[in-house]
Parts: sequence; C-alpha cells; structure tokens
Amino acid sequence: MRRFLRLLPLTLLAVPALHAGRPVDSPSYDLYLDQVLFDESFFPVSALWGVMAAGLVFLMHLGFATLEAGLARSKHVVNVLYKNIFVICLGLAAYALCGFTTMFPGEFNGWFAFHGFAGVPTKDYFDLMTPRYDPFPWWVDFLFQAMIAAKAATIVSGAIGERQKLWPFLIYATLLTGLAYPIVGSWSWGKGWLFRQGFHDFAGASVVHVFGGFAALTCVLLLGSRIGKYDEAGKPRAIPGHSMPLATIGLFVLWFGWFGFNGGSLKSAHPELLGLVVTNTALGGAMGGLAAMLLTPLIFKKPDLTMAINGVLTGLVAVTGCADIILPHHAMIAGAIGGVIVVFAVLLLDRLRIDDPIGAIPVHAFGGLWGTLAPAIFAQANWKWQTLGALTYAFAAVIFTVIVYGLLKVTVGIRASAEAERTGLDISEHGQEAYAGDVVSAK
Amino acid sequence: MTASAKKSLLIGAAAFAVTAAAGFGLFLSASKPPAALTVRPGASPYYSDSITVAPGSALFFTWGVTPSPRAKAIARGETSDSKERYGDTYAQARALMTQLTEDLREAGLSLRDVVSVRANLVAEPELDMAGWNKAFGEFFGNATNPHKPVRTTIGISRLFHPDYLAEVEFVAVIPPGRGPFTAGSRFERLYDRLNRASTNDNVRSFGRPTWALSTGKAIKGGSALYFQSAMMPDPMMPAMATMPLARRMYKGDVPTQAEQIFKKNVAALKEAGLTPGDAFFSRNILYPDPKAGGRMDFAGFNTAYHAVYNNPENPNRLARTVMSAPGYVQQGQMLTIETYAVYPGDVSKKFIKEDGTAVPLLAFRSDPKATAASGVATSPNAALTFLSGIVAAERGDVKKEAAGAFATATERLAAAGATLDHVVQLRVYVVAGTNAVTAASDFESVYATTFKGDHRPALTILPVKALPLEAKVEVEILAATLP
Repeated sequence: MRRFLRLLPLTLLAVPALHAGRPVDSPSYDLYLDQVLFDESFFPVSALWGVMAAGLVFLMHLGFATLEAGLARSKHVVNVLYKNIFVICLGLAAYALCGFTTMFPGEFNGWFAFHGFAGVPTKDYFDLMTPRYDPFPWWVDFLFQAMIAAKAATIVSGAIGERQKLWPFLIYATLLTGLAYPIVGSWSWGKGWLFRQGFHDFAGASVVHVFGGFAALTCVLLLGSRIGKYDEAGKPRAIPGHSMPLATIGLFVLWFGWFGFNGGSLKSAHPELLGLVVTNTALGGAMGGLAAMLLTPLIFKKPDLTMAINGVLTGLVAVTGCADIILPHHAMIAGAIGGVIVVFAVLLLDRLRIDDPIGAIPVHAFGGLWGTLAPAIFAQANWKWQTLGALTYAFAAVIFTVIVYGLLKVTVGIRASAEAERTGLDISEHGQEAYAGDVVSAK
Repeated sequence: MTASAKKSLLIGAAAFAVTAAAGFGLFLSASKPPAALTVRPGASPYYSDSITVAPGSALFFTWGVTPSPRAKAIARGETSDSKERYGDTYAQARALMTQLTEDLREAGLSLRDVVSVRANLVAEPELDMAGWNKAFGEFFGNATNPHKPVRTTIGISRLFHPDYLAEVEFVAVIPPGRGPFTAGSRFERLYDRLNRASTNDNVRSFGRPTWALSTGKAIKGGSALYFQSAMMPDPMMPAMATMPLARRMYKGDVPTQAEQIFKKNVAALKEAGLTPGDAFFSRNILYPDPKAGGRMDFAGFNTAYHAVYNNPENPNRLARTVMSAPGYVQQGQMLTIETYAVYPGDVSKKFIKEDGTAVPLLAFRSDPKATAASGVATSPNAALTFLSGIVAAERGDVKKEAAGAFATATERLAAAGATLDHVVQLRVYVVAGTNAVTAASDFESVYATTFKGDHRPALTILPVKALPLEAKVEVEILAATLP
C-alpha cells in the first residue's frame, strides 16, 4: 500500500504524458477529420460497422418477437411468433426483389420510381464496392436497409394480435413491405420530394415509426377490439400478457438493436458522430423509461411494468429522427417527453376504445410523431416540413391500409371467428400450442 | 359491425378529414419561398422572370457541380458502356441537382431558398433543352415544390471530362435562423467545430478542406458584395488593350495567360479595396485550344490558381465553376475569369456619397473610356434583383436580338423598380461560330447605345456554342436597388 502511495504522484505525472504521446498531427480538426474519413482504411471499417449494425437490427426482430409474445396471452403465442418469422423472411426477400431499388432509385422524379429485380452487373461491380457508391458498399447498404424494411409490418403485427386471421395479414404485410414502404421511404431516404424540401428524418421516426404506427392504428380500427376487452359499460378491462420476463427480454434486445438501427443509419463509422448517435440513443431510451416509470405510479397508483417497457421504447423512437444532429442533453429531454407521451397515449386509446394489445400505436405512432417534431425543436429543422413529413407518412399509411386491408376485409375477412379467438389462434390457425396444457386451460 | 367499432371508424374518418385539410393548408404555407424573396413569375412554366432578395439577407453561393458516376443506376444494370456511366443531360442534371440539394442541406437550406440556377450544358452535338427542362421540372415549379427560381441556360463546348454534359450552380438565400451565421444554431455548431481558417469574417466555406475549391460559400447578411468583369489576358502589345476587339491579339498558353489574368484580378480587387482573401467565387471559362485538339488545359489553369488562392499565404478556396466555351480563341485568347468578392467588416460608409445620399452600387472605372467597370460593389443596404437569362422574342442577327433582349430586360428591371443604371453585372452570351469577334463587336455597338449614362456594369461577353430557343444573344442581369 505504501509503495502504491509513493508511486501515485508518478502515476499522475504519467497521465498528461499519455495524452502528449498521441498528438493529432493536423493543424485543425477539420483536416484531421478529412484525413480519417477519406483514408483507405476507413472504408472497410465503415463496411464492418455496417454489417454489425445490420446484425443488430436483425436482432431487433427477436426483440419484437419476444416482446409481442410476452404481452400476448399464452393461447396466441404460436401465432405471434409465426407472424414475426414470416415478416422478417418476407421482408428480406421482397426487399431484394424490388424494395431496395425502389426505395433508393438514385435520381428520380421525387415521388415515384419502381425498379424491379435487383441485379448487380459484373461490369461496374467494383464501383459499387468502393466509397464512390457510399461510405457503405452496396451489399452492406442493401443488408442494412433490408433488415429495417420489415419493421413497419412488425409494428402492425403486434397491434392487431390475438384476433386477426393469419393469411390476410400475411398478404397485407407482403404488400406493405414490398411495395408501400419502399415507395414512401424513397420520399425522404431516397432523396425524394420531402428530402428536397428540407425534411429531416435521420433513422426513420416517420419513415418507419409513423408509417408503421398509423398502419397499425388503421388496421385496428378496421379489425375492432378483442372479445372481452371492454365490459358491458364500455370500460376497458386489462388483458395481461402471459409472460412479463419474455416481454422484458424483448425490450432489452430491442434497445440493444436500436444502437445498430440508429448507429447504422449514419452509413459510416464516423468517429465523432457514431459515438454521439449511440449515446443519444442510449440516453433517449433511459429517459423515456424513467419518465414513464415516474409518471405511471402518479396516475395508476402502482408502477406498471408494461408502461416502463413502452416508456423506454418511446424514448428510443423519440430520438430516432434526430440522433445525428442533437446533443445528449437534448436527447434526454426528447426521450423523457416521449416517456410522458406514451402514458397519455395509452390512456387516450383506452378512452377511444382502440384495442392495441402491446401498445404499438402509442409507441410508434405517437412516439414517431414526437420523434419527427423533435428535430424542429432541438435542431432548427423546419417545423412546417417536419409536421408535413409526419402527416404525409401517417396519411400514406392510412390510405394504403384502408385500401388493402379494407379490401381484404370485405372479400376474405380479416377477423378470426369468435370461437377461434376464445380457443386461441394457436389451436385454431396452427393446431399447435406454445406451452403444453393450453388447450385444456383454454376450455 | 358493432356499435363501438362503427363509432371508432367514424371518429377515425373525421380525424382524417380534418387533418388532411389542415395538412394541405400547412403545405401551401410551407412550400412558399422565404419572405426575403420577391418572386416575379413570368410566362415560363419552369422559371420566374426575376427575384429580388430583401436587403440584409445572407446568401449562399454553390460551386458549379459536375456529375459523378451514377453508382445506383449502374447497380440496377442500366449502364453498359462508359458514356452511360454519367447518363444523358437529363440524368446528369437530375444527379447534379440532388447533389446540390445535399450541399444546401448542409447549410440548413432547401430548394425553396434557391434564387438563381445557372446551367452550363454541353451542346455537342446540340443543346438538349428538353432533357434539362424535364430534370429542372422535377425539382422546381411542380406540385411538391411550386417555387420557381430564375434560370440561365447556355450551351458550351465541354466540361472537365468528355462525358460530362451538365454543370449547375445555385445561388440561394439563407432565411433567418438558418445557415452558419445564426448564433447557437446547429448549423453554426456544425461549422464552428471544424475550426476552419477564414480569410474574411463575412464568409463561411463549405466542402472538404483538402480540395482546391469550396463546394459552397455562405455570405453574411448585410455584406457588401463585389462583382468583377471578365478579365482578359495581356494583349500582344500593350496598345491593343484599348483597340476594338477585332484588332486585339493574344499569345501564350493557358498557364501564362491565367497568370496574367490573376494578376489583373488581384489589381482590380485592390482598386475596389479588396484582397484575394475576400474573393469567394470564380467562374473560369477555358477556350478549347486548337493546337491541343480542343482540349482544355485544366492543370495549367490550376497552377495559376494556386499561386493566388489555396496556398499557405492565402488559404482562401473559392467556389469555382470551370467550363470550356468557344470564346475568342481565334484571337489567341485562351481563357477568361470572373470573380466575386465580399467586403470584410462593415463598409456601409463607402456607399454614402459626399452629399449624404446613399447609393445602391459603386462601379470602379478608372478609365472613363472603358466599355465596362472593372468591377461593381453593391451596398449592404441594397436589394439584389436576379433576372433570368433573356433572349429576344424574335430571331435575327446579333444586333437585332441584342436590342430585343435589352428591351425585355428594361421592362423586367422596371417591374423590379430598377433601371439600367442599377445593373451590377451584365453577362452576355453570343452564338457566333467562327465570327466571335464580329458578333461581340455587334453586341458592343448595341450596348453603347443602350447604356447611355455614365454608369457601366461589370461586363462579360462570352461567345458560346448554343443558346435556348436557337437564339444568338442571351442577356443575364443582376441589379441592385435601394428600397
């Protein structure tokens, strides 16, 4: 111990020496950054980060699956998991066939471009694998975007759970992921008309969350609420999910994956911005959770776990639109406001008798709206165009859903029979059960 | 359907209708150009006749962007040979304007803020106006962006790369609350953390620090601007400088002539009380050298540029446009250069005459016989009016078309509350084939009868390859008025 104390001054002396040993040998940060970003070794690092981010976003589908399964009753779990597996499989396939090139058409008229099968010609192949294409090479760009593409459909899948017929939803999800999402996505991420007007949506507060959230809202309106959600007087009854541990695992996996979702949206491993974006993401989620956890006991008398989960998720959605242009203190405020919004949004939906089993609409629709407006408040984005962008995505989702899901409703029907709903979709749709003994207990 | 489901559907439908109406109202208000712009639409479906920028507005000048390979189109398999890597005029113009949109976004601007668009299109074999109009219409004057900036289009010989077909520049206004001059904003933060060397307090440079040029220059609101006439190299004999165009002869290659021009450029800046550190934009027209098979000596030009700009003494990097147009190559002239600059600090006193009256502009013309001012400075309190490129309504010879174009220009100036005495910069493009000198002399005779007073603007007469509507003369004007 004494020896350690004697060495301490020496150790302290070494600290500035360590810093001095790593000088930035550029006259300005400007030149230093240029040196880093355009160095040959930066491109492979970015590509590597892109693949990792794609992996993280892929993991979010596990998060969605576990969250939705945990918040569903045990008799519907197989159905929930089946939908989740379908959505990611289909998302990847549809995005490869036409989604990617439709969403990122290069130069186009700003509102519609449709390109069919993605094929990479051997002749100019190497251009696409260099920084000339993007800080991400072509394959990485595709992979990352494809992982995100299925998310809008996943959001819908959660909100309409426990009562929808399986096949009509799968048809709807296919069209949503393969057609609607790439087209509306191109308006802002494909440098379309919203982008040209200065609309800022960094990682999809509108493109993914408002679009998915409002699609979910419309689906729920078309579908109606679950049997037994409202009593004779129309008062909502809580239908608790079957596994809170599963839901909590889902939350943590989603939060983890969000680092890749936001961090990967930078499309580079920019040393300064990558750290900032992930920091903002972490803090936004934390403050969203805290705000919801503080507010819930005040309103409901008891701290509610599902509210805490949705608070974190809304905090994450709240910083999604602007994580690249705000500083952490603003991310904390944005996240906290998100956490407050979700609590009141849940109450509002109950009041309006909109039955959303997992809270996808409060988190994604309301959180997404706030996440789109946040850049206007914290980062001088044009508030008119932020509002218009959010409205555009909400309208696009509503119109698309009314047409497609409405058409399915009047033709094949979208609602499972009351009998099937009572028995559980697992048995009625799949003839399978998630946990042994459900059939007996359901009867 | 249950009663409750019906009720929620009704609520949903009502909410949808109300927000749709509100959203449309918001769109109408949000898609208007900034309040600082007074837009005077004209007959063209694509561009406005003129736009006046309110005094004290900050401005943003972009570089002349040239195409990059169309990576995403290549990926879709739309290209098969090297020519198609860059696409046709339409594809290139679209790509350029997407790039410019991104450059604008970096300063917090959007397409609504664009005041003026200048396109230099390679007219080989001919000017592709249809392609350019189509691309332009996808960005401006359409349902999603109803704003129409002013526009000037000319047909040139070639650009840096033989497959480049278009080069586009924007001038935009920076609305209040945006751009790097708004204290505490994200745009200022973004800029300031770079800690970029600045040679003039009223200018902020954008773009990569290792490039020879800036991709954009933001000019602080209420700055005095300076526009220089196109500078010519030294003639073979000093006496030729005052002779009519047809009798002037030049010698030397691009580096020699560029060096001479830069020397004159610096002298003219000095005459106006400026230094090369205050310059922010230059338009460089290299004439195709017949001895080098029509090639443009870009490297030779760059050597001369680096002797004045982007060196340790003067780290200032200009927003640049480089192109090749026929010019006066028959006279042995190889290039010409126009420069814009901005005064550092507050120079509003310069624009108050001894008798106390304020003037919108100051023309520097030491030689009263010179046809043009060496440069014109605009008052910080002046409103700048940008006019679209004007061609005469009827086709004819150079003299007739020039007179027609001036008649229209006078009308449009009057609509903006200006006269020919308010013209800061006059840029004239003539199509003359091998008779560039005659055409320019013809124009000068019309010019002499049009500008009758003492005032002479900064002048550029540039023989080009082709003009829109098969015109022989196109006139482009920037004017300054006191409100």
